Amino acid sequence: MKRSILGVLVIIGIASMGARHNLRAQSANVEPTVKAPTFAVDPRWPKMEGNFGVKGNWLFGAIGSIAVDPTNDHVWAFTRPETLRPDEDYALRNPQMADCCVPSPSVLEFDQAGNFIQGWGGWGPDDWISEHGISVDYRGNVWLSGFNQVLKFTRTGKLLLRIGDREHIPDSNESEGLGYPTKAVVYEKTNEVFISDGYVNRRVIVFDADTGKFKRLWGAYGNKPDDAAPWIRVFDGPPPQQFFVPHDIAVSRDGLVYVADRGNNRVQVFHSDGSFVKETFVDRGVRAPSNTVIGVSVSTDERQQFLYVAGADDHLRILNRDTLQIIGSFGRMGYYPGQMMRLHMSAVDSKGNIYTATAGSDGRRIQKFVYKNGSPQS
Amino acid sequence: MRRNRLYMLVFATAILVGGEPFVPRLAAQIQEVVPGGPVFEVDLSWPKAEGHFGEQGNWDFGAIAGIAIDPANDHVWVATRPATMAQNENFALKYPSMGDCCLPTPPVVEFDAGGKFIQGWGGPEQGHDWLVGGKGVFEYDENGNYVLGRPRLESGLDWWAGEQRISVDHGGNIWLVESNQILKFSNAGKLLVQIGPSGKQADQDGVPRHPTMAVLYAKTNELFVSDMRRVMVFDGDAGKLKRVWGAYGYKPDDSAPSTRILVGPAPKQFNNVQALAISNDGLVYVADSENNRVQVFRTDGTFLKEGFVARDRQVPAGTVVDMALSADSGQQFLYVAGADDHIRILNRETLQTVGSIGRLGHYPGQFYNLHSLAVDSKGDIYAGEDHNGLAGGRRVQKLLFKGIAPAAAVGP
Repeated sequence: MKRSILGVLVIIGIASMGARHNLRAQSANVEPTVKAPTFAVDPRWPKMEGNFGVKGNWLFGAIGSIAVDPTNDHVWAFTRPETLRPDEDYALRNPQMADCCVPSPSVLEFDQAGNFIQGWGGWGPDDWISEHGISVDYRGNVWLSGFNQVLKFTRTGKLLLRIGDREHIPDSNESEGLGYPTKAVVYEKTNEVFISDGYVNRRVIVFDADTGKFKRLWGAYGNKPDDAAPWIRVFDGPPPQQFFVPHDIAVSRDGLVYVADRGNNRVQVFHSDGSFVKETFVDRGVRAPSNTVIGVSVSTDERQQFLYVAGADDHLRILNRDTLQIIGSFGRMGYYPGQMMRLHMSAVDSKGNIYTATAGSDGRRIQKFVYKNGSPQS
Repeated sequence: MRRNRLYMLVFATAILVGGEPFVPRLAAQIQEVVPGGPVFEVDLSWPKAEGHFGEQGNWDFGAIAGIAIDPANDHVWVATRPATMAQNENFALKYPSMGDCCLPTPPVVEFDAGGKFIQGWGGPEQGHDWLVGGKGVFEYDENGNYVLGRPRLESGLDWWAGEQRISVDHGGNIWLVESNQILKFSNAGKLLVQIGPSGKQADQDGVPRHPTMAVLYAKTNELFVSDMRRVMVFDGDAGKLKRVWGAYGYKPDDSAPSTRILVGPAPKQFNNVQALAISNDGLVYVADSENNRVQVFRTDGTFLKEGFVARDRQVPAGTVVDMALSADSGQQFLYVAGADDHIRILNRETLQTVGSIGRLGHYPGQFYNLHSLAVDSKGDIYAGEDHNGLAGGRRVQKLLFKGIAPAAAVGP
């Protein structure tokens, strides 16, 4: 029974493959039941004032991730100060080569209007390197993921909990430690933190969000993860049986867990207990070096109708969360407002606006895409 | 001048009636407004995101080498360097299976003042030698229309190899420097004149060695060319060399050290002249880039004066990489693009820096590898970004001239 359901899902997956022109052809024939919302970039967000203004000298490093605080809609970015290039950090030199720039703090908070609120965290040997994931939980705590650990902070940067150990990389079936986790998100109803783990491991792992006590772990299809599986991207044929860099994770209000299976151009969906629900490939045939499924976030309307999938080919694809069909897309490569260079992650605020982060060696921006219309935003 | 007075009146009225604050909010974000100085605001919809440049399009600029305005119609001509598009950006060109974007635009691209794409052309073709990457790299169909081909060189590009500055003369002809040669084209891209040795470095005098820009001065029908340590002047029709001068109007000396000297006595030689601008009253402004200096001459080569611009800045390409004059009848301001991502506003008379626009960054009104500058008849500025081998920018941005700040006004 399970196998036959799987077969159906594979067919759905295949049907949703292909380049964008194929999709357009499809959508001409099949009227989507849920209409995709549209978005318009806010080119004046965030405000380039103060330290980011003409007399300031702060510059973002690569932006690992972006998050919205569900309690107040503030926007948080997790940046990599050490990634400023030698042609950017002129103001760090002694003597200064130019008046700009120095890296901004690693963790940055902005309000809805784009005003800079605060920043904390630097780079160095202590707590994080290779800053990757950020989320803000229902109590306003900030969760960072990076180098073999997940760190829980208060809003003002006080460390509350550490999961994992920088010095220890476990395998995918160990309950202690993390293998370069990519994102940690808290599910309010169970107060559990769900971690996509990660660049080294190929699993989802769940801990208690207060105590950090291990709860459970699973691999692709909810099966036992197998680290011996090949690390080879395949763009057609049978679906891979293991995750290949689970790179982002989101939990919907109805308790479904969405995993961005980056190397496989795939989203897998689970119940919060780890039982497999369904999967889809997202433009599976596109061989973008960093893949089409790199970030995943859920819309904030009452029914959470949409799944937003960030692709490293600089498209943010809009999926019907129910059917997992692609029903829209925005963004393209470029440096102008609304264009992106190496889209990495996205986040959604309570009004339905989307925030994006780019993590390349160049063109680093966070941007706001304002929700315009579509199915009603509650 | 009348235009400036009008703006001052409008601003003063706004202050008196307690209406809009004097300085547009966005202007405050991109510049420090100074009394009596020009005020600018970013045009957030230039160029238009449509067609090849739109969401469904896949064109993107290579490095912006130069920008010019057609004085007849304010159209904007952009010289780009398609070969500088990075390997992970030109998927649509080389590896279509890896992504649907991007293709480099043709080397020469024309927009109207509203940001609408008009045409693009350029690349090797019969009759002349568009050097970089050799022949046949850009493809043309049977009718001679440009078909996008491979980029030419992916790395190791000599700085002079490829497209440099562009200018448009009073007859609408396009003057482009490309790989040590000066090419004059019709508006539609037909080659009319070629000066220089087809990409090779000249081994005799009388031809440019590493030219960067060619500007035709209508009043004398002479072509002014910036070339390493000298200014060369050619007959505008025949291409015959008429005169040459170096810094201070001296004889140029190629044996002078190219070490950058940013303190102490002023260097006696130019150090990599990147651009020229000629004022309505016939003064020649020379961007002495690696000396962080502007020198001013009469058209006959007589030295008049000089001004350093943020002389202590050590950014490799210097603080004076391109220049443009303001559009008021007296051309009160000289705008100077610096590779440190500032457009500095100089009083043209005193050569004192009175203001600055922009900073390093990728957001609107910020610049990244600022390299090119042009001003249209309305006083709006166009600013273009280079690619420095590590990273791009590669935008052309339009900054709308919003008038002159009242002498007493202080920005927020």
